[in-house]
This record gives sequence, C-alpha cells and structure tokens, in this order.
Amino acid sequence: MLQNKYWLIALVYCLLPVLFAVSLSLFIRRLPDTGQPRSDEFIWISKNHPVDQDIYPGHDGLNVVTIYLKNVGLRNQKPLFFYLLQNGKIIRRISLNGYNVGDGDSVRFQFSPITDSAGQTFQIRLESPGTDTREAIGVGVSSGNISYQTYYFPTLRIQVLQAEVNGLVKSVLDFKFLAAFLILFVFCAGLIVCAVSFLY
Amino acid sequence: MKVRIDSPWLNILIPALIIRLIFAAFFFHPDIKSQHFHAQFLSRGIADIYSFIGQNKARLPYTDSFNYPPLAYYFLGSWDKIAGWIIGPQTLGSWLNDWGPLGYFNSRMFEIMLVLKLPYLLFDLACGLLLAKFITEKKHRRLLIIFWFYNPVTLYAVYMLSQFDIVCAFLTVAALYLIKDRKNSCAALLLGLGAALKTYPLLLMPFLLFRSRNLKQFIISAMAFITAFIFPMLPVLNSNDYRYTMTHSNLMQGIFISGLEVSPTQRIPYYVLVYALMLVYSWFSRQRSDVTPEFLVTTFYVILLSPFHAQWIVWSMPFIALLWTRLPSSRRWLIYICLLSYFAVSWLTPDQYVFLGLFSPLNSQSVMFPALSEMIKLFIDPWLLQGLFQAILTGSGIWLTYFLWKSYASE
Repeated sequence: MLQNKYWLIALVYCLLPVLFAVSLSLFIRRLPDTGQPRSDEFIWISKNHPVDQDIYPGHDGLNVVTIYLKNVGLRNQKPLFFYLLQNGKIIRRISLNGYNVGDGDSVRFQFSPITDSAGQTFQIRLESPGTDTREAIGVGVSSGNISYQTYYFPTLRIQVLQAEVNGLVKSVLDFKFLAAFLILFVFCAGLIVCAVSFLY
Repeated sequence: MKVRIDSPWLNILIPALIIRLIFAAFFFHPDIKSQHFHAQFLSRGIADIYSFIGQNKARLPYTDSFNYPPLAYYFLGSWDKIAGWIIGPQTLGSWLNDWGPLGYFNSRMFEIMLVLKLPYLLFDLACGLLLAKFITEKKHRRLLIIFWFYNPVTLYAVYMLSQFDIVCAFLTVAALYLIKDRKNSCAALLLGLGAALKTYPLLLMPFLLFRSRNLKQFIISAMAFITAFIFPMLPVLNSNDYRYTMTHSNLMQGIFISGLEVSPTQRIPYYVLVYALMLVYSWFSRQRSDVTPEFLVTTFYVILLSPFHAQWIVWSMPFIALLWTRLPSSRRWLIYICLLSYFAVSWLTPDQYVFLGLFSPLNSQSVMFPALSEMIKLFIDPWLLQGLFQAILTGSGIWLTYFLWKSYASE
C-alpha cells in the first residue's frame, strides 16, 4: 500500500495538468486555420511600399490574422493599416500605431468573423503611408510569402475541445516522442540505481 | 550497498522520475527558446554573444539581449549541440529560428522540451541525492527525499518555468557539503562556477571565507573562487554589451528596491540589512562548519524581501528541504503556507507565462488567455492581493528561519 502511494501521487501529478489544460478549451473559441509560420527574412513596409499576401482559409468564421512584424529599435510611431480584401474590395480594416509593434513580435489583427470564409481567396494588405524608409516596419517572410497565421471562430464549443484532444493524443502517441521518453527513462533510472548504490 | 528492485529508494525515486519526464515534456516557457536561440551561436564559433547580438540586431529574428553570464552561454550552447544530434539539427534549428506567429509551437514540442530540459533533470536528481547525504538518520533522510522529489515548487520552477537555476542550486549544495567536510578550496571552486552561471552564489562566498582555518587556506579559497568565476568571462571582458548586461542584472536591482526610508533621499534596503547582519553573525560563529543557516537566509530572503522572479525559489529549496527535516511535525504547516503563498505571488505576476501560458504544448489555446492578474482585475485589485500574499510569504518565511536558528542554537 505504501509503495503504491507514490505511484498514485505520480498519476495525480501527471493527469492533473492534462485535464486542466484540456478544460481550458471550454473558455476559448478560436482555432488555428491556414498559415505560413516560418519567418527567415524581412520585407519592409514604408510610404510607397505596402505589402500584400493572398490567404486561403480552410474554415468558415475567419476572425483573426496574426502577422510577424518588426519595428527596429521601436523607432516607428506612425499609423499602420491592416486591410482584408476580397476581389479587390476592402471588407475589414484595422488601424494601429507603429508604437504598438514590438522589435520582432507577432501582432494579432482581430475582426468580426467572416461566416462563409472556407475555400475563398482573400488578400491581406499592410500599409503605412507616413513611414520613411529609415523607420520602415519589417514583415517576416519565408519563401516569398509573408509569415502569418489565420484563426477561425468555430460554431460549436465542442469543436475546440475535440480539436485540442485530438492534437494532444496525436502528439503523445508520436513514435519519436515515445522513443525519446523511454530511452531517457531507462537512462535516468539506470543513473539513479548506480547513484543510490554508490552513495548509500 | 546493492539496490534491489523493490528497494524503498526506488519506490520513491522511480515515480518521481516519471513525474519529472512528463513535466519536462508537457510545459513550455519562452525563456528556454530565447536562451537556446542565443546558445545555438556557440556552435557557429561565436564566443562573445553579447557583442554579436549588439552588432546584428537589425537582421536577427529575435533581438533581446542574452541576460546571463558567459558560462551560461557556453553551458547551454554545448547542450544545444548535443540536443541537435538527438532531435535532429534541422528540426531544432528550424524551431529556434522561427519567431513567426506560431514560433512557440511545434509538432514535436514534447520531444524538444524533453531533450532541452534533460540537463536540468540530471542536476535535480543529483541535488536530491546529494541532499540525502547530509542526513544520517534513516527516517529523516526518507522525509527529505520525499520533500525534495514530490514538492510542487521544484517541479514548477525547474520543469514548468524551464530555467537552469537548478544547476547553480546543485553547485551550492555541493559547496555546502564540502564546507562541512572542511574542503573549502573545492567548495570555493564550485561557488565560483555557480557565480559564473548566475550571480547569487557570489553572496555565499564570504561565509566560506570566514571558515578558513588560516591565511593560506583563505588565499587558496579566494583564488579558487576568482579563477572559476573570472575564467569563463575572459573572452567577453572587453565587450561593452557584456558590461551593460551584467550591470543591469535583475538580482542586483531587485535586492535594493524594498527598503526603509530614513529620509526623502535615503533608504536602507531590507535585504542588504539582513545580509549584513548575517555576515556579522557568521563571523562571530565561524567555528561552526555547517553554514546551512547562512546559505538559507541569503537565498531565501531574496524571495522574502525583494520583487523576485519565480524561478529564484530554486536557490533556497535545497536548504528549505534540510530545514524540513529539522522542523517538528507540528510546525511543518508553516512551510505549506510559505510555499502556497509563493505560488500565489508568482501567479499574480503580470505575465501570462507564469501560469496558463506554460500549458501551451498541451493546449495551444492557453496562450490566448491573458495573465491571471489581468483576468481578476475586474473583481479585485491584483496588486493588493499580491501584496497580501507577499506579506504572508515574508511573515511565514521569517518564522521558519527563526525556528531554524533556534534548532542550531540548541545544538
């Protein structure tokens, strides 16, 4: 019984964070959609140089786009505009100030959900008409595409829970992770046995 | 001694090992990414990371400075190279250099976290096993092992916050052991290495010097400390960026913040006052070779009397574990109060990565939550609440150290 006590404590320690983390999905209704996450280089937004990118959401309810921006030395304090266009027509517009952009920071542009966004083509445009080239704002790019991530607003709360649980199970059952876990467990357990026999 | 598979040691240690491996894999703090982002440049031949960042700010995807002494860079850089071999240099390098919108996520996050935190796990295990060597009585040794391996504070500070403070904690415990054993120069070398990783072991050095039996041992100990402390700094001593980083250390700023105002322009910092008193006391009791009370007060009072970073609790946890075995069971609730209020103070810090954000490998939605202090401010003033918990932490901590002194005085 005494021996089982520690295994029980271990079980509680391991299960509690998992259950807590999964339960967080009940409070948030946003799921990641398509994106271009890598950011290797920068292109620069200035007076006559807006930046455009086509995006193709996979789900209905597009409501957030995060973009990796860089305001070098926080020099830029000029207005920065985010536009979401469809067939050349502006459907969402957000304005902020360069002051709100960090020196290498993912900036979140949130707007009211677009109900029928799945399979449509949209265009993101970032403009800063008052910005000189010396204080230009960098946009992370990789392979010619800007670094962005879209999110959508799922119609049912349970969808978020399902997506997170599926992702978690997939990650835990990943062969490479399980192999690394097992090898490190055997290695550390061996060290413990050696250390205990040597020290005590 | 031969260890049997049903040994009580293994029944305690193996479940504790599994908890550690799970915690190492399941939690992420951005600091581990930024530290290893900088550390990767060691394998590209960059010895002076401070100047390198200063000169390349415009083209680096992450531009914050490296806020630790050079030995931390060499240590993390060496491990980063080994981790690259285990995980795959392409996978690790690609994640470390991606500061895009999903830079804190990766499909192999569990594996990356597990491998990057492996050194912390080894130092944590070593620290617990070494601490048990301080105790001769079997019952107390068992108590200490259970406390060290099952307390949530160490798990939080080492595996959830993903900080390397446990390496310094191990070095200070090893130094304490050697001081008790009258091997002062070896202890000084370890404290020097510790101070070269994080500044705080510097504060422990005077207590060791006071224990020198003669001038020769004093000089040898001082030289051993200076060698271990200065040697890793040699490649960066000329760097202005390095000098700037080091003179703006959080510890050095933190310990001077809270104090007793004696005039509109003058204040006596509480921590400095306690530390000075401790030096005087230690000098007068220099015949005692056990410096556990000095080490505990010096490290623990940083938490009690200054605005602290949550991971700094690891500095004092080994000494709190030793104190735990000395406390009568009727007084142990003080430690529970102390540690609970520590969690409350830490979680009320306005930073999403002291609590909910840490769960991002388990649930990517967790980063959408603001800091806990933001969430509760509609109902209660978070600073008032944090101050209240800090008062409880400080009060119970002072009481705890009072019991410790009493138990040493009665010996």
